[in-house]
Amino acid sequence: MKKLWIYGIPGLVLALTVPWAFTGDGGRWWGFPGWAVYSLGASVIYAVIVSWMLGRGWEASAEGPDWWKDEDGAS
Amino acid sequence: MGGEKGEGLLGTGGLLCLLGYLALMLTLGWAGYRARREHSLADFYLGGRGLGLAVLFLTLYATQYSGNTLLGFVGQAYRNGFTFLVSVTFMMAVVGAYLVYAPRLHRLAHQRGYITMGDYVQDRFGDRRLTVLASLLGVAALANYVLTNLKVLGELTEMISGGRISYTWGVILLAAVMVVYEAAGGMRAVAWTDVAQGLVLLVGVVVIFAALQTLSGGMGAAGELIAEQRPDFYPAPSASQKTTWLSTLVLVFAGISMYPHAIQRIYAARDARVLRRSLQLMVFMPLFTTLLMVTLGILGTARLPALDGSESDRVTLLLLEDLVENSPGLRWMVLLFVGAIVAGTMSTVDSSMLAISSQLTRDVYQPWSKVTDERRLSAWAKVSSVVLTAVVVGLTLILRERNIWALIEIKLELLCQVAPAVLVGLHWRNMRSGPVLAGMFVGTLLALTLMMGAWQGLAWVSDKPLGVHAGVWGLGVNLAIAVGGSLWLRPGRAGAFRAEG
Repeated sequence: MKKLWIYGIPGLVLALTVPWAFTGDGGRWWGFPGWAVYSLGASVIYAVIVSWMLGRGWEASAEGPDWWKDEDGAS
Repeated sequence: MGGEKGEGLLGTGGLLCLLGYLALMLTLGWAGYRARREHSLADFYLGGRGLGLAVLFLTLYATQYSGNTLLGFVGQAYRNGFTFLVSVTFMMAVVGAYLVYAPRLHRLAHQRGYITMGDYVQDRFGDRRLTVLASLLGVAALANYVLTNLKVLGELTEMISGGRISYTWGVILLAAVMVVYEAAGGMRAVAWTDVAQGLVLLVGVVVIFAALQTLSGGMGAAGELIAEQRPDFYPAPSASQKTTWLSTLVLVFAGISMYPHAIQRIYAARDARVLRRSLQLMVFMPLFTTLLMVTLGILGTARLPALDGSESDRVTLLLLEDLVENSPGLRWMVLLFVGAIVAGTMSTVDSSMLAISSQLTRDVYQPWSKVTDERRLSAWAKVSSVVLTAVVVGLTLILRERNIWALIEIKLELLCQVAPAVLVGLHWRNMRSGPVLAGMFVGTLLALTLMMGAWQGLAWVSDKPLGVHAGVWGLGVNLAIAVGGSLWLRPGRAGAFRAEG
């Protein structure tokens, strides 16, 4: 369940970096259209989340099935 | 530009500096050879699994960013405008993919002694056919990657030398230098040269971006001119373009993260802490590299409008020529940037060549020949690396006129088909080799059919049906077969999930 959060939240934020809601240019910001600024901002948030998850979720992500033990047991 | 012989962008002094740089690379290669601890594949291909934080971070950085970022990405931004900001996100997404598999794979690599991606696939699924297919996809994608980057090196050499060094001789010279230091020092030499190359790359990108940004008055001031030249850049992407945007994120997430040379760096990290810290830094690097290059490409439309196809891949170089003409005192900055392009490209090519060599040796030749003597294997690996380099150099010379981005896309369509075996296989006990093999094969076939059909101009075929990349369609089918088949064949008892074969 913990892995689902570790992988799911960044996955969701990644999908939200696409400027789905914009139809016009969204105004101009330092020469960039508003939708581009939105996408960049969302990407920075994505990077922060991934970096945080790498720190906090490393051990959980490193866990998994030890298939060679299963095989040894089966043989 | 290319064929005329003259002083060139750098002049004789600058060319001598670059030759000095190549000599430094050879020296580092020699140092890597001297530092070897034993004659083993693990020592040669993984540097004895001892890369520390600074070396690991810079080798990951220098490997991930290359001539494609500095030239191909700029050209893509020049042609497509702000929508290519997707590249900033997708370079971050690659680290997001590492979050899914690097912690587990690093632990297993140290426990189980993996050297290549194929070692993991073989250990996990116990099916030689699957291992060979995954390795061949990796080799095909890497050979493609090498091809793209060697093309960049050839173009660059010809331009900076004013035609005194031709495209052909530029490719041959730089490939020869790389194959020498790589064959001498293996991963140690490649990683040490990556440290120097990564630093040059990072400093060069930031400094030259600042200079060109100042020259054009910055994005704020250039915005009006860009809007005048390319009004099509400003409206938000259409629904179809947004679908392609998401498809690109998926393609790169599942594709670039599967690069065999990146996986080998995960194996080569000294410990989990070093790897974790490196990746935590890496996720922010697109802001200091990709974003700057994309902005440069967009700025280029204001200063150099109406460049076509492959010429637009040279926007950076043309802007540099412009810079030197206006401010001759800034020639040193040009040298720095050219050095950054050469460094970024060479670091990618040498890492890819090393990974190809390891896969051919460990995943294909060793099981077939049954050779176990590490010295013989290392010798075979070096010879295969040289032969392979010669083949790729030949192809680079033949395929000179192809657009760089088209080449990049082909490799990702193939490479992402390996993702289910790694991303899901590492975490899901019941995944089985038969469905994974079938999924990988069908996914690859589907992606290739769609792309090749589109290239042949078949009316009913598109390389992006409904705005989704052929590789992502292939990946979807691949995943459905691998997961669906594994669920269908789910064993009645724990531990019997491996393939019959």
